[in-house]
Amino acid sequence: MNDYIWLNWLIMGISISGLLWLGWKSSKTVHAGGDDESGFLIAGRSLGPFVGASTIVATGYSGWGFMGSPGVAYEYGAVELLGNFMFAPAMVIAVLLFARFLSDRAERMQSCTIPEYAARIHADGTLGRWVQGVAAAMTIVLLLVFLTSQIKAVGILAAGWLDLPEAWGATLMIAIIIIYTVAGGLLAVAWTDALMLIGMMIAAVIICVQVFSDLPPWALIDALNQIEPQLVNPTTSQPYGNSVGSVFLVLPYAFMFSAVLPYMAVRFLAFKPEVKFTTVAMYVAPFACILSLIPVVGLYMRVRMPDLAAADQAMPVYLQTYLHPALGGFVTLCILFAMQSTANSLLHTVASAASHDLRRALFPNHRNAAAVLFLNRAAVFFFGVAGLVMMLYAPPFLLSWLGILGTGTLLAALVGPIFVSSFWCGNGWGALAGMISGFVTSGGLLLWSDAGWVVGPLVGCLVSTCCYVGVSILTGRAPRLAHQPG
Amino acid sequence: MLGSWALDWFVYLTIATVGVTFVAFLIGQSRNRD
Repeated sequence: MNDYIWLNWLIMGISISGLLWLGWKSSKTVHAGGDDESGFLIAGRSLGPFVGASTIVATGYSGWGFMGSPGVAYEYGAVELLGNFMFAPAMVIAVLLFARFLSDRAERMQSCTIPEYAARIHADGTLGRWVQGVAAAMTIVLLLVFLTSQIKAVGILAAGWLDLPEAWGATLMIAIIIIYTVAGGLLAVAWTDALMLIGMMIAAVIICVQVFSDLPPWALIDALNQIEPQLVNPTTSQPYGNSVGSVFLVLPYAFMFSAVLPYMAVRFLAFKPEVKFTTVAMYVAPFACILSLIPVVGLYMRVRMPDLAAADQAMPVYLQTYLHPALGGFVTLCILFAMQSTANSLLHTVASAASHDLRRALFPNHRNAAAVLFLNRAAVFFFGVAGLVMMLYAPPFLLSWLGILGTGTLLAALVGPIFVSSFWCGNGWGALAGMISGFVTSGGLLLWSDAGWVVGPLVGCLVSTCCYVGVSILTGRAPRLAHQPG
Repeated sequence: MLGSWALDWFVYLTIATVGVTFVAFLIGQSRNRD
């Protein structure tokens, strides 16, 4: 493998050049609207269907699909393929049924971020600033930990691939992300995501061709059946739950994930107004279906190497054993891409929440465009470095404590103000109650019960919705879109 | 079909996802705006 380090550096050098070039090209859009914040925060509403679909899928599929999910498939079998796949129909449903509504409403509300959208549809003045500030604070705390874990994952992988110390691998990766995100904001993130998604799909095709040319699907299933029938026909949905049907709960979870989480939903705000979301879905569906095949590596490795010391080693050992080093190097780059395409979106969203939402909540009258753009960019740099420092020095118990809360808790917190408000719009007090109750319920279940990462947030969503509706009624529900500007 | 309920559902949902998306795309093309 060491003979190919130079090749790995060459592939990495070419990819870095491509990413930085896209960042430089996209920087022109940031200034196109006279330094208006929408250029940096939502790409000046300039995304077409292909780039928009690519950034949705690339952001939704993190390194988990390449590294974690094959490990789970190795341990638990075919149920993981089904569980991981649920994100594909979920993204399609979110794009077909929710994206147009959110996009149009956010444009009418002149909202550039999800916390700002939550605030503007619910309340004006001080109460609206509280909604925006609380949503932003939750976004920063919960996504910064996710960002830290992505930086760590990308650092470990890059270090092994390029023969570097882990800290240097992480520093190199986050430096590249910071440079192009500072330059072009969300447009740079979207363009680089599109490039990285193409690589990820090529990697998925390489993996499937190798696996199925060696073991056709029926032979793979027969071989798994002989090892352990539970791998093929499980009587539970473990690790998703004890009943057979529990795996299907991933679908509503994944839908909420795609429609509500700020780093996913903000993409719906960034499309050109004339784009048809049915066309976007036509790209999202095949992209997501192709990436959903990657965990098959776990099943293949269970047949070929049933005695791995740790299930998480399924993909790394597969790359070393069954692919030519040059192909293995390329697939490793694509796994880096998968992690990077999520990390850049997280960084942009966390930075936007701080530089736009918290600033608007604390200093509503500060509107100097050039200074605001500088703040947006400075926040990207600050949180990128903060994520790196947290990865290197933060106490592990703090990171794991917050990491368990993760994205599930954020979606439970925001489901009322972002999703339920589409059907039944409450007021600012209801939005605050929904966010706090969703945060506490989902966080409590994840930290102090064995509810699991799907059930905990879904129960949190239910409690959040009840509190959002109940408190809105008790405090006098505001008319829908009563605070529409202009 | 494949002898595994999980993989059978994987195939069914893949076909349904692509099929529904395609139908939605055709409907979208026939309208001015979706």
